Amino acid sequence: MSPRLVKSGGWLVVGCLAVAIWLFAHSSTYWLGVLTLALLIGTVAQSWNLMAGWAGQWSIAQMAFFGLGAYTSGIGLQRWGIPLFAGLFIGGFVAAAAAGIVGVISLRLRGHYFSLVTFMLIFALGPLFLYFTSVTGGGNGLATPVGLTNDIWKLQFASDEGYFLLSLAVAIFATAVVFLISRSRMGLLLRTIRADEDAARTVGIRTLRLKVITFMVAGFLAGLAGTAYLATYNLIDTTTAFGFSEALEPVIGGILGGPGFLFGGIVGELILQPLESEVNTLFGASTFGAESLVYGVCLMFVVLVIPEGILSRLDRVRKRVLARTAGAAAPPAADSVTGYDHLAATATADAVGPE
Amino acid sequence: MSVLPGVLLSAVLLAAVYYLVALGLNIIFGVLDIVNFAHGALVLVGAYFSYELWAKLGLSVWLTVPIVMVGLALFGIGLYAGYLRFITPQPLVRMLGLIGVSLVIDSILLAVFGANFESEGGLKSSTVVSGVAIPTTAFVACGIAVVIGLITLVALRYTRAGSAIRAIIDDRTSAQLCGINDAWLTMAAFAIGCGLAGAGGTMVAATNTFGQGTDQTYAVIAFSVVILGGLGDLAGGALAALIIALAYSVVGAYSSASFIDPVIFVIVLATLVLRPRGLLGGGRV
Repeated sequence: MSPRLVKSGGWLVVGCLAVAIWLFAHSSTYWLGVLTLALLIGTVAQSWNLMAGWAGQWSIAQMAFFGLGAYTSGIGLQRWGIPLFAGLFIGGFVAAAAAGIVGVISLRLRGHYFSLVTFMLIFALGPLFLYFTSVTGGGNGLATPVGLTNDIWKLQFASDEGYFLLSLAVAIFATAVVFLISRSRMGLLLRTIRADEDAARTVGIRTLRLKVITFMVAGFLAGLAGTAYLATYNLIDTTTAFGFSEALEPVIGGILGGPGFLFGGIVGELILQPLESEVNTLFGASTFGAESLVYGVCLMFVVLVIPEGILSRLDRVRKRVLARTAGAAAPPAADSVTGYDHLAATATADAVGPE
Repeated sequence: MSVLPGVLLSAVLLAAVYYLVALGLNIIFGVLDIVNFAHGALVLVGAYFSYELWAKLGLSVWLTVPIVMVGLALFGIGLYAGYLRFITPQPLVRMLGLIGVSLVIDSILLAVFGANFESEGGLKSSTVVSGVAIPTTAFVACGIAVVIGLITLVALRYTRAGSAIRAIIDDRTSAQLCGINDAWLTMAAFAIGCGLAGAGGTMVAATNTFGQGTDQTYAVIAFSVVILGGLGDLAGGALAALIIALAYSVVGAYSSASFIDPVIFVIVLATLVLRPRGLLGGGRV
């Protein structure tokens, strides 16, 4: 949501929604579980959002950093007894380092290369983690001991409620990071890169360094979510971390919610995860690739109908209402500065043809 | 006894098929400026299509090649005219749309054909070269792939439509100003790319087992070939295909198959650092 929305009481709406989600989550154990997962994947979607919505770089590998974070903290716990709370940050830093290496190489080039390389990253990491069975647990995945008492240091809780709070904390942290970056000078520079990278370089912005730093922050956030996932389910496997349709979850959620909007990833996952869960209950999980089908149809539909995301639509409605109540003339058509303006800008440029 | 000659020969034979698949991807990229993330899925569709024609209608394996190519080209036209055209003309958004298409194709194929791996029996007869069994069909597949690839390249170079497509790859606006109807040719290029993916699929079906996951294998192969050769560089892909095929065969023969994709990934990263425009330097950045 836009900074302007903040001024016009947008936080009140956010607060009401949060309370609604809170009450909904506590309506049953099923919904508590679904919303916990939605918040965890939503955090990854926020890391995607940071890269896509602000820097204009579409990563497909955010789930791989999620996996790296989870595996790092899991292996740390298993081998050296490092408690998960510390693993949370160690995993995040390892994921950030991996993002730094991949980013330095692939972000020197433009969008396509970055997306291609991140796509290939998930296929490169999967087999490796399967191969080194003695360290990663191979196909069975890496399991951590289940703690039945509340222990914040081990990130183990007596009830599902605790894990919901953990995922909520991680999601709030990620959103806060996105918020701080978007309001800072860095956010402004990133938006400049997104709008026109050549122009940004011309005026002296160090585009590569900024993009890599942002990618590392995004990797860190995804890594945090990974450890929180491990703490919640006590298991991480290669399908969850490096599977293809799993890798697309945060991408679909992010684009559904609205890239470049503060709550984009969270909102997207709060829609996508319950939907997927319901479909799985209806057809039985992964019997004939129901999950793939849901994601595929979602992606095709979203891209076709609301490529700028749900929040952008809501934002436009809000502006229209504001304009009408103020009695002013029609608001500007493009969601300039706040929204998905690069899409509108490139759309007109591309109407002639891709350069 | 060294198995190296056999490994190298099988790599060369594979390279032709890889090049064919990557050529289709590269043409689509050049003309539409989008990476066809559904390319691997189209290869798998081609493989199943060929398999069905062979198993149900009893057609010769090689006779299925033109049929599958035409079928996939028509599918490409349908996909472009019925879906892709209506997406916001922003490359990354369209790319995500194609990922959606690949997921849908994937789950439909899984629902129809199941998770078992199929084979057209090409593996039954094989030629043994220094201890490495190479399916006899691989030689024919390589020959056909080379012929199809050459026809495509010659057509792009010497026909009017081919020149027009190359002009669009070069500079769409100037091409339009020269009176080239780019709308039709864009669709044609997409259809050709899909047809080539289908042709690649028939080769895969003829020479190997295939099934769920084959699409992603070939997506990774095609993407790495295109990056190594240079996005938009049609000729550079041949050398790149050879390198990727070598990596595939050598790593597979001397080490674990688990290391194939990581090794290819490292090769791709190295290429991006050392030769970002592709091996021959003809790609765009």
